[in-house]
Amino acid sequence: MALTSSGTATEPSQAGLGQVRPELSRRERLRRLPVDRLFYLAVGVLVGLLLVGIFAPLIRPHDLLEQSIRDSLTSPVWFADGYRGFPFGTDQVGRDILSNVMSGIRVSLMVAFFASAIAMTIGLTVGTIAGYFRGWLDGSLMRAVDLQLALPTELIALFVMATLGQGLWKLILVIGFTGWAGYARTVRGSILSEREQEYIDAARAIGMSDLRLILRHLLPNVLTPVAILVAVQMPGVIMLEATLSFLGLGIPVTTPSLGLTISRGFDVLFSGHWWVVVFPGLALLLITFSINVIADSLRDVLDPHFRKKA
Amino acid sequence: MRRFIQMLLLILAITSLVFFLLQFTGDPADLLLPEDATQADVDAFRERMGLNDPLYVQYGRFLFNAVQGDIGDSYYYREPALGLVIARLPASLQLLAGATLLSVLVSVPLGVLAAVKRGSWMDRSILAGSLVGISAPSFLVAIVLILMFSVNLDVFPSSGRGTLSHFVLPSVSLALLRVAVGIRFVRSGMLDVLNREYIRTARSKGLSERAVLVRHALRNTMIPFVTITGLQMGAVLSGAIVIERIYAWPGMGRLLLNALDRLDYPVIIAYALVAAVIFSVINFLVDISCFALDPRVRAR
Repeated sequence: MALTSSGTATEPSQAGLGQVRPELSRRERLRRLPVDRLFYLAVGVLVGLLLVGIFAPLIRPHDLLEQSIRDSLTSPVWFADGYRGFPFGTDQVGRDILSNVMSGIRVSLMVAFFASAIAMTIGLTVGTIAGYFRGWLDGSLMRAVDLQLALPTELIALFVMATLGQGLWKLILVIGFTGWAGYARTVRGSILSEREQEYIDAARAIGMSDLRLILRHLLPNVLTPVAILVAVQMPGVIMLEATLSFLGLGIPVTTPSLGLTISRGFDVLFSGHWWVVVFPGLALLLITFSINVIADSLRDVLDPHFRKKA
Repeated sequence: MRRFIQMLLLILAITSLVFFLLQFTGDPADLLLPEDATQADVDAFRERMGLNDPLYVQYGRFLFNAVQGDIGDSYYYREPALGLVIARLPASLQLLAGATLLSVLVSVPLGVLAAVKRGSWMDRSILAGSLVGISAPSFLVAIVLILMFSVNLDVFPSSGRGTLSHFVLPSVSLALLRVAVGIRFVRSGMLDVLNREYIRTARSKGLSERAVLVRHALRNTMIPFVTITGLQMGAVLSGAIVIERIYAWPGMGRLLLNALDRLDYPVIIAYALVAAVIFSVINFLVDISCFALDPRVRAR
């Protein structure tokens, strides 16, 4: 967001708050903006969620598949009919919501991490090859990128999951293999502009191999835009996973994900049992929101193009 | 002409992809015939549906019939599958149009406001709101809206189609993500444009601030905005699938989900075909409107 605000002091009409304040140093301005505080908060929240996700199998109070009809639809602990053993209440077959949320966070983060890693790897490879070697290879690879970008990812993922059947790793692969095109395009652009630089000619002149040149000199330039893209796309990956799981097309019932728990909660929503939906929903929102905040700040700070604009 | 061929290729790619994907699923005969069906019944069914032919024959027949507008009969409804999908098309298009209109009407003014008042509390709260908006998957928005307005307040119905009040929650749920994305897009586009020389020129020649904003800044922001809005309508159509399930909205998305449960191949393929045609038409319309909005494109 507006981490780096206000261009010139001669335009009071759009400076807003800037006109009443004395000129501040960059560091000072960064410190004063609430956006920045939000950034650290988001990092803290995300680290917390990561820890919960990693240690979910150890710290969750109940076994995930443990059902007990006697405890079904217990209210959260702060209600009169709540019970200490189930802080967030239970679902219709007496499964502990808190334990489900913890495991759901683990699943969401796993999908986000691995699917993004796959998409990024494919995109890096394709983009580098296209941008470095140019020619017909570039042409046909970019045609593939165009086709992939023209296809609606959500719809393709839905069709593939519906036909191949549920599965955690299937879902990760499907999302990974449908999400590479944006990375390829970005990487190619960076490589194209970088390979015209003189130092690349120099490196080639002293006999550096293509592979070494790419790894040592070209790829480091690509890392910043790729890092931004990972952060920008990750919330979408998590939302897609949750949506597919909500529809019963993503993660199988045996590994409770947030989307699945929410869909179970939707079945009992009209009888007033809101907690089965609300707690996993909040967890999901917390994950995507904190990543979005981080992505925004990263872009403002790291992306020179954006910095100029904002 | 080149555009048109690209359009046809996209449609062919999507439908063929779906056709071959369906080969990985189970046998529709198992699902559709009664439990006590004999092997002879199964064989007869497979023969009648053409499921015994080699794959390339099935694919060839599929393409041959498809260009004539015949996708085959639904296994479940025993009616032409394409007709079933098209009958539900208006309901889905209504949702698509409602959500798109809503997102444009809300995101443009808010985005402009945020850009003009950059750094103010108003800008910050609009931005923060849009950041929450892009973080919320639409199925979650839909459920929260039902919880608030149907279960607790009881002001809007939670399912079905008919009156205008049935239309409110589904279209808002579908629009919210687009509103959030749109606000950010309009805001950064406006900020970009407002720093340009020609805006300074317009101001210095004494135009009113309103004229500068609307006639010079906004119009230049609108061209990429129209493109992005159009291109995102594909995503809105896919997003409508889950919204239609939640609100029991009788559109083609709900039909698709039911068809996927029943392995009703012809309906699934008919959906893919109709969706692909809609994407292509939207892309075409986007091109035309860019042409109309931007004199630079026209000059080319």
